[in-house]
Amino acid sequence: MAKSSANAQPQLISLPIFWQVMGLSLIVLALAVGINTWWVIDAPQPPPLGYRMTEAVDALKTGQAKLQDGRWLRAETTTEAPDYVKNPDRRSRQSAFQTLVAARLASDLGVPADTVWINFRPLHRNAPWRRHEHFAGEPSGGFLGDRTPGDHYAFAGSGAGPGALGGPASGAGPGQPGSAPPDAGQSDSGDGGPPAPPPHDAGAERPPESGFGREHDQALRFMQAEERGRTEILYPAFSAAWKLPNGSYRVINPPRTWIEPWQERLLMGFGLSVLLILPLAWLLSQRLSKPIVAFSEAAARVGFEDHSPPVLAAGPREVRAAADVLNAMQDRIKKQVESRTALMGAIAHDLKTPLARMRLRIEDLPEKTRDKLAEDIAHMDALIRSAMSFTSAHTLRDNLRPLDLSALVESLADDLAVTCKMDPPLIEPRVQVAGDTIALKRIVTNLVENACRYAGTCRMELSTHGKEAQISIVDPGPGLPPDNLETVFEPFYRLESSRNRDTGGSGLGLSVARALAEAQGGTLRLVNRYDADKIIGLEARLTLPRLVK
Amino acid sequence: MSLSAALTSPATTPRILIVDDDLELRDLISGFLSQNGFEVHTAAGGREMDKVLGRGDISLVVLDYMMPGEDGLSICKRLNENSGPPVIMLSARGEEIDRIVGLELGADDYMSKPFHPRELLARIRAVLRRQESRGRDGGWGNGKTPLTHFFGWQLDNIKRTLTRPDGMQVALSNAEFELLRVFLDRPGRALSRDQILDFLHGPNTDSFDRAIDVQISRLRRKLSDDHNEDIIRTIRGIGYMFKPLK
Repeated sequence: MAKSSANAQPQLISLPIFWQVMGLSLIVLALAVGINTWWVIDAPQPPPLGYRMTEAVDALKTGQAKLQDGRWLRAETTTEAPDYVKNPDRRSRQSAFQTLVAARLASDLGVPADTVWINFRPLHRNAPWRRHEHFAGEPSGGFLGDRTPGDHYAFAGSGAGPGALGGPASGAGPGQPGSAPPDAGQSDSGDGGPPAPPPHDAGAERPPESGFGREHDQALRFMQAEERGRTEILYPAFSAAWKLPNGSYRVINPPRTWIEPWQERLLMGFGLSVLLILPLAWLLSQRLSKPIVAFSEAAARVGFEDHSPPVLAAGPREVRAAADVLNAMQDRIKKQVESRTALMGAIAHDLKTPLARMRLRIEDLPEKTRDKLAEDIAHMDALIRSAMSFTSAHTLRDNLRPLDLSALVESLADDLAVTCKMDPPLIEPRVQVAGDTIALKRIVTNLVENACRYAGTCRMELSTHGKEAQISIVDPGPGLPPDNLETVFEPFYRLESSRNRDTGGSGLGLSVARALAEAQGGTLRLVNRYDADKIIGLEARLTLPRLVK
Repeated sequence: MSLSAALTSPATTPRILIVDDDLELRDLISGFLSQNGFEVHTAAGGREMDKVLGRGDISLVVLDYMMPGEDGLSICKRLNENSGPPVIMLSARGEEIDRIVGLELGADDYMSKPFHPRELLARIRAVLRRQESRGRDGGWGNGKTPLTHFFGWQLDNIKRTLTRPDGMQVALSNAEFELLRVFLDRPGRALSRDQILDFLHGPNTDSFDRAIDVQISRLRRKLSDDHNEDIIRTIRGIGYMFKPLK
């Protein structure tokens, strides 16, 4: 099992990035949708919003009451009447129902009906008034969003209608309560029963004031009858104001929380998806990026002239393709370097044989001419030699051996003192590096010769700095313009514009020295020595990685 | 092909064979060497060379390194394996690495083109002289190896580099190298400062005694080693002695 999964992994990771990203996106999408769908379907019935009359009464009387959905309905006492008391909106279609509920509330409180006001708040601004009431015992909760305001009004109106037609203002016909329950039951039981009279016109055009008293009484009676036979009616959340005898108002407002309970549930679903998807997405993204990171690291190691290992072709198809291209490029560069070296070798060879012939031919010439020509030949030879070492420096890398750098610098100081006036060297003992004795001797000899040529004298120093050994050739000469500290390493660069053989060598000396230093994993650079702002000399620094046992 | 025959025969004019693919250079060297008292044969390549060598009286081969067909190195190796005549290698590639490889494969000396004709002459004479004095007490030319071993150390006579028993390379200055050679050629003999100076610079030099002491102390320091007692010992009242080789 473990084996098969181990086999499957590289296959999966070797899919093209396109399909990996596509797959990842699809998985995340499916998970997000799936989790939320399950969460919503699995959700328990949200407790009904709104409150019973008894709860409203309790809140008004005692100050607070606990609602079914767990929230608290709290009452406050204010001296100022709420807006809906000051400006009762009697034109509104809900006013009749409001009046009815207010009457019911008043009767439950045991106070006169004209001291109690009710206001239903719309659930949100743009939605029309929606009927929320339902019987708590009903499982569906009666969340009747599809009902129009007209339906609601029809309920109130149908209860009031017969009374308005048949009875005097004060009269509450004995037959009326009997007729009301079936009507109400019909309306509440669902959409099945058509409202008896055409509700819209009748409700909308009748002046609300006209049958106020009758409606009130009849509705009240119906409500009371309801209560006896059924479980308590749950009213949509409303605000209520009760004018106390001392003129202040006791007010309840629907509890408002920032997030409604049903919203809470949905948000929890989102949170759950995030929690589940996040680690998965993180894991997969990391797996996707790992081969790319590995690729870029391998690519950074690609050297043009060294034998760096080829970039590993692994991971997604795109990365493998890029690795192949890079490897091919490195190959081409390597071949080019090789052919350049071969070309230089061939040119050098073909130049040196004629030079050798010339050198033999001039033997018979008069001594003065012969010596001059011999000098020219020697110069050409030196030039060719430098060019060859410059192009073939990289082959050094394979022939590095541990050596005692202290002994090397000491012996060089000894040998070079014959041709160049030098101060005694400062040498740290037993510094060891991996290098090539001959190459190192050439570098240092070149630097010392330069120092002697331009400054007349110099001093060699060998020191260690952490993992590096540093050979410094310090001279008290004129230094270099800062712009030239790097350019002097370019092949055939000369400080003097003339290619004068008396002051300079082939023009390749420093280029060759740097190429040789780099082939041994080292660096070579020049820095001016300053005393305050004044240049007091030049220092050539050759650093090499130390060999530490 | 018998080298000893070539050497033991009273050859007043040594026979030199020049192997080079460049006709003109061949002729020029040939002309120059003939003027200087040698009998010169030429060959354009390995096969021609074998034919001339068949004569059996060639004292020295001047061999070009880079030739079409069989190249100089492989010819040199072949000659060395068959105890052929000494070889001076000519190369258009002045690289030190080639020089060393050429010598390790058995060339007796090496010159890079373009060379000074009189220097070639001098080297030919030197190699021939070494050949003659073969078997006698002599310098490192005794035998073809450019490496000298002692007490686990190794001296590279070309690079002038010491290699410690643990493989670490220790560079020697020219003076130190010459000094070490003087000792290595005379192990187990107490040498006075004057004797050492004579061996180094020839008789009648006015070199300073003190300088020798400095050189020897430096050389001792480079030869110092945790396991060995002093390789160069001070003999009180006389001078110095190199530890006898086993």
